[in-house]
Amino acid sequence: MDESTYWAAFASVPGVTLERLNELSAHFGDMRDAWRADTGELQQAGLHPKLAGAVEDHRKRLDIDDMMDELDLHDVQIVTANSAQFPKLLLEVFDPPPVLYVKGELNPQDGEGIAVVGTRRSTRYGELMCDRIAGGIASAGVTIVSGLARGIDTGAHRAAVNSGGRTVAVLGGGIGRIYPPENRGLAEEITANGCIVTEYPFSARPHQTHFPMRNRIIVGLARGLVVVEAPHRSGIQRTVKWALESNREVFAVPGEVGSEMSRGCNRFLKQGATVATSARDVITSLQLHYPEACANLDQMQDTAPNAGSGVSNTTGRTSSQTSGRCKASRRDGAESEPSADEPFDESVLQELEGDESAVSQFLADSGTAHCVDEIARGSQLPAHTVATALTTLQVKSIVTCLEGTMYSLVGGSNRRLLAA
Amino acid sequence: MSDVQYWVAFDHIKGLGTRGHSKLRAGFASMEAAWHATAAELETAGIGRDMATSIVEQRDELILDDMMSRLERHHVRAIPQASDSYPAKLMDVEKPPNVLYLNGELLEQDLQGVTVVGTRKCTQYGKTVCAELTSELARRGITVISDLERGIDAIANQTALEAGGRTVVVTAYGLDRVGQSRHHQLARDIVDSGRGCLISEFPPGNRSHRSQLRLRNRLLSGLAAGVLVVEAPKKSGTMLTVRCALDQGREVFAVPGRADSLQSWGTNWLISQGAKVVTRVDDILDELPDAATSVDSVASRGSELRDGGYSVRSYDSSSAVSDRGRSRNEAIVVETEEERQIVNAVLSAGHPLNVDELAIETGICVDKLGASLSMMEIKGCIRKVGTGYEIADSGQHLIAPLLKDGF
Repeated sequence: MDESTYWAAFASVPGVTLERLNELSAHFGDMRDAWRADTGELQQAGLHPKLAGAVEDHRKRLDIDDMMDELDLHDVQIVTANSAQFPKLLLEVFDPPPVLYVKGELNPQDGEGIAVVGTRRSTRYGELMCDRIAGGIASAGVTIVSGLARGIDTGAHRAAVNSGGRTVAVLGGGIGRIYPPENRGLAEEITANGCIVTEYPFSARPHQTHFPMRNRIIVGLARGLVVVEAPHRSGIQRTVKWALESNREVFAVPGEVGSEMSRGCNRFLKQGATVATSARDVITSLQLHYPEACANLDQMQDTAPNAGSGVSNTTGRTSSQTSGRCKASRRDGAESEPSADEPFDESVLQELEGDESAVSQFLADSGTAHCVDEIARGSQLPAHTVATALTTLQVKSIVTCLEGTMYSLVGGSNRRLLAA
Repeated sequence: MSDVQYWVAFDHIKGLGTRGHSKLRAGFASMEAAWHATAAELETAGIGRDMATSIVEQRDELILDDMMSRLERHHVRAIPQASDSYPAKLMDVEKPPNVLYLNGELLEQDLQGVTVVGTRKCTQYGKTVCAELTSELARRGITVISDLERGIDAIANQTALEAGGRTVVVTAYGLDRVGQSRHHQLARDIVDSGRGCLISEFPPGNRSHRSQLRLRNRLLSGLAAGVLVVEAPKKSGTMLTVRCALDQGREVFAVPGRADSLQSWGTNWLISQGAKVVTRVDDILDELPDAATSVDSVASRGSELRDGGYSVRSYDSSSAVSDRGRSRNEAIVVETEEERQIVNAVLSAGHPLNVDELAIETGICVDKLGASLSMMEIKGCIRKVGTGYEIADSGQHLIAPLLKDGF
């Protein structure tokens, strides 16, 4: 049996760190011998008597063959810290994991990704930005690393998968116990073009205390950490701390003052995090590490540079369009139309008259989505007139309705897609 | 007659720049002497020949008494650069104005104020945050300086005044023209209240010209200790004010906003370039120790805002702007357990929730929920946004005590 199996066996004993394992490895040469050694020998190799006892106990309960059968059955590989495949950056974090259980393919570039994280209780805005930033980064060819949790994490993985890019999900439990359960399908999709990774044995239950530790691996696999949305106090603070300690660049997406889920981000900005409004913001400030991605970005005319000037085209329905667009421009490379995501074409507005013109002008000026009330207030028209105008504009594919309540202008390329 | 009228008179001479002015000051004992000088004498003082002739021609057509009576008629005081009451810190700015025209009272503390600027095409968010921050600044005794332009700027002037604070308006035209501006009533209120003033470097009768906006901007930032940008698109006059502020060494503050909002592009960009992030007034005062110490004792009221208090109260004072909301003193009570749960759910979500989401969050069945929501809407505690519900402007202050006990 492979030596990595024994690394995994040792690593599954609570309290055995990479440091201890390296000592054992140095003492015994081969971990197979270490596994068979008695407690006395283990102590000689430098293990504390209590820890040696724990190994002894654990050894009795653990059937290595069963463990390997289970891993093989589910196509899970073991990557040990001393192997060439183990991501080098991960060794920089506090207490690096001795082994990683990997399902899917762990490329060298996956160890140099960008982590995109945030609250589980994400808002529409957070999901939109997640889609834009994670989708943009992934389609530029950089791996998105996140934690498969609800909310922003899910959005980040989803955006990466949809844009045809790579993504790594780091779990807080074993690969056999994917949490939250609704993300099992997503996890499957991730393994097709990326991998799921954990330091916990196959059937380890996800536990509350695992998640902060899981975050250090997320940080460990990334050059930068993007916080999309975070409330005032949350585990994300801890993740940011991990990132700073491991010398990673921290980005935060600015949000409205008064939005609870942007409060953490705005505070990170106060404390010196870099502003991230687009994939470009993130990649260009790490351009030394991602020369290729930078070149890709320039070629793609990614959604990013227009993040400020473009008109929001959002969520749900449009996310698949965004991703289609990214894929297309990736395939076409240099030949891709420069209009991949042109800002809203103002000339369309000139063809409109009366109320429609007033409504769309208001939307164009504000550059973001609004509900009917806000439009009515902003354009100083009665609400029923606004509603009529919005319906006509929707028929003309100039305005799109987001989740039934918010209206925004359709960007140039999206309008064409909608019409088709 | 004093020398002031001659300063004013020279301000009316077309083509005579600040540099020409300073040559006159250096070359003559008084402005009066300069006014009566011959073209040749003017030339000896360093004025170019053409300009010297032009001065002589123009001054014959200018009637000093008319100028002075116009100042009086519009209650405008002229403060020449030589005067003791001329703000010394204006000497920091590029081409300091020769004469400041003032309607109202400019106090020493006004020069430790904060200039609040933003786009004319502001969003509801911009209005809300602007009102919240300026009223808090005003309550803490910080003078709010702005330019009375539509959008963010007028809101800043207005809320500062309404909150009982001091406010200064800097215009890009002669002060006699304020009466024709969109916000003439507000301007009059500021002067009448005795809690602020209107300032211009252009004499009455001057009409605004595009080029004067830039000059106005440098004065806006020059008078203040710091500049707060609430909302600004990519290209806007606001950004020019920021540039002036940086040239003059004033602190620049920006309010973060949605990355997909055009009107927050500028502020987010400023933050990425190192502007201080502002989500509450303390973020400004921490950076401006002088402003904070010049504050009178009325101030401390603001300190009741806990660190966590801001986001809850952030929509509080928009009633001041929209005048549609209820007055904030009107008592509205969260009466039942259900209402309390609803409020908690909406607050913890941080965004509007619809009935289904509320049902899931609170565990209250939908029919009861409907009844409670209607009651709360009538009481003005919550407000409908699209299909969702959020805490209404007027409901905000009631929630704070709720949060304190155990939420």
